[in-house]
Amino acid sequence: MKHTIVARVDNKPGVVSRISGLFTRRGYNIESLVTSVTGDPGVYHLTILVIGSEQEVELLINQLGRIMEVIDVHNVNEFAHVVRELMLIKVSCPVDKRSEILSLADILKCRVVGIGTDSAVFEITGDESKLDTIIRSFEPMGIMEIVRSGAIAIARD
Amino acid sequence: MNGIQYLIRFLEGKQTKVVFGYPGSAVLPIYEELQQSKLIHRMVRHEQGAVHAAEGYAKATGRVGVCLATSGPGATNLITGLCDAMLDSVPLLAITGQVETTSIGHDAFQEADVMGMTIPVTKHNFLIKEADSIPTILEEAWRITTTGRPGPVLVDIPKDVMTSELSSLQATPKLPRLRRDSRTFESVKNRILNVCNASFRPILLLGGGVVSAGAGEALLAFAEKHALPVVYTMMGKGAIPGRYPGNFGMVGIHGNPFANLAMYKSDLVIAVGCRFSDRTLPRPQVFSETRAVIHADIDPAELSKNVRSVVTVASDAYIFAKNLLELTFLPEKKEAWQRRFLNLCAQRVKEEVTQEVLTVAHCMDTINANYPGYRIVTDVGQHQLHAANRMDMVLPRGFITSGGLGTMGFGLPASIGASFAEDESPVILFTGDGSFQMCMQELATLPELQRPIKIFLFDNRSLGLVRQWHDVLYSGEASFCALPPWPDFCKIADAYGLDSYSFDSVEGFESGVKDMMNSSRHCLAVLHTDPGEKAPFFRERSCP
Repeated sequence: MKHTIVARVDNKPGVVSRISGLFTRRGYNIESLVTSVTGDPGVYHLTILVIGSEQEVELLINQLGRIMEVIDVHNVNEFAHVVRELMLIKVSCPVDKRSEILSLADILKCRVVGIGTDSAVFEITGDESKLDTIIRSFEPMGIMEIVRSGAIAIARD
Repeated sequence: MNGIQYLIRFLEGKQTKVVFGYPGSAVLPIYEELQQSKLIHRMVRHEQGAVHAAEGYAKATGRVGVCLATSGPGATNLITGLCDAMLDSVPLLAITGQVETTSIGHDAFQEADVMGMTIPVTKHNFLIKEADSIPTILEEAWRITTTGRPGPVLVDIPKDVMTSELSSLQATPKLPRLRRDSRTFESVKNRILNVCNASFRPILLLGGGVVSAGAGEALLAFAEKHALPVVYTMMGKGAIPGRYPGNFGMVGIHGNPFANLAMYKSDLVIAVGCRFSDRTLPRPQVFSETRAVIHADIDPAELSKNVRSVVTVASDAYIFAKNLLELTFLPEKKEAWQRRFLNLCAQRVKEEVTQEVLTVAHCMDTINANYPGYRIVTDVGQHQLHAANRMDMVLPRGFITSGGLGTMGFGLPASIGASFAEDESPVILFTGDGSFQMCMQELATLPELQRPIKIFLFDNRSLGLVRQWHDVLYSGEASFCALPPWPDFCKIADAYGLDSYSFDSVEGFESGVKDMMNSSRHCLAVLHTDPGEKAPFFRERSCP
């Protein structure tokens, strides 16, 4: 099962290396890891997506808690929370298909951020399932490239 | 005051007695300043010796061991010892020199990414980028290494930072954070009572955390109150005195059959300060399916890591022990179990040791019977496992060994560190022909020591434990386990100015060992023991 771990850490050199190294050392696979600034310049916000059983993730959180710079760390799956991810998707878009593709993008609520001679780039924000749906919808048109930012999450209460 | 003057003043202020180190370009400013300091500096002959010596001191005293190495190769030579200290939770401060801040990242001479490469082997590490942060970082480093579960901390200091003047001596430490864990004793007190009262065959399992927290006396009182059998892991050896009749000894693959029997026949294990390593418990899943486990450890990350427990308590071993002592369990059910095990205790005799050829077991039994009060340091291998099973503990922190990492070469430098213990206990080192050759350059460090070290080198002309494992897992001749050409260890001892002894018979050993132990000099005895002798090896299915 996929778990979303949220940690607040001191903004110190090497902190991301400590955290990513721990995943390797303890045999976990990071699905995504996003480091973001917060309102406090001394504090970073980390969102980590990891696949594992409840027990494995609990052990991982305990291990993360041992890192000195970690202020707090939670599995947000346990709370009400909001997850968002940004995706840029480049779709094959020859001139004769342009209006068809743009109207599909409109239905899917994708923002056009670039049009090339044979391609169009769309920007979409959403949770994982929404982005997956959009990828499936564009598949028949010919997807040329996808870049996803990785998820960021915040507890709702 | 510059950075180094502050560092020396800081170490003096923390009552550091001794620093083990090796000079080099990037730490020259430290060595220059050390000459004017009260700190004792012992120069090792390889940085690995410095870190193991600091570990030996820390394990013997519970105080912070301090070691010092130069940048690049000096620092990389510390890594084995840092990893050793990490696995055995040893309070240790490693100071390394680094190339100048302006050269960092330019592949300068003797530059290595020490911060990066020591992240996995330290509890925490620092690279000091500006002199003014030295006071804060040193204070944080000290607090981190001593607070909670101890562990090694490395501070990497560029040469130019060392010599910069500090504009402020103010330390504003923020680390370590105290984490609140909901699994307190209070929150599970009733569950502990219920689990204990439901149990017919409870047993107490002690790990290294009991030694580092000084919780042995309190747990012994608890065991005596309820007449509980007590077993320990290798790191928990010496946590409680051997004289307690219910002290069954060491458990695990290399433990003794009685201790293992007690553990495998129990229906409740109260485990304190141990992490259920694979050497203690090869099959943790099966273990917790067939009995209840109450697990207390200072490090919340150890709880439920290897063994599923019915009750977990995030607590220092001493506080846990004090809390346990206040509980009173229903006594009736346990009586049969206690009778059975106290009977077994009475029957328990050390296995007969053949007198015809010289064996490790016999030599250790002789030393154990005649020379109590020594601090025992071991290397890694068969001799270590014999010592863990055969030597009775008289002193607190009386058994110094490399448990988690099993670092061959640990023994000699660790015995040097242990000889600095404030209780002034004399030191015996047990080592093997394999382990000894991994750090034997530290013989050169011995003449500077005040107290003589008695070295017993068990020479069976092979890597005995590796060969033993080979025999368990494979058939045929063990690969690369014999060690020809065999050096003449007596000549090596002579070369370094030690008194040397060579024993190849029981009679020779028994008369010669007296001379050796009465001598006021460093002595090395080479004991030519039976290569066929096996170390204790326990398999669950061979449970008696």
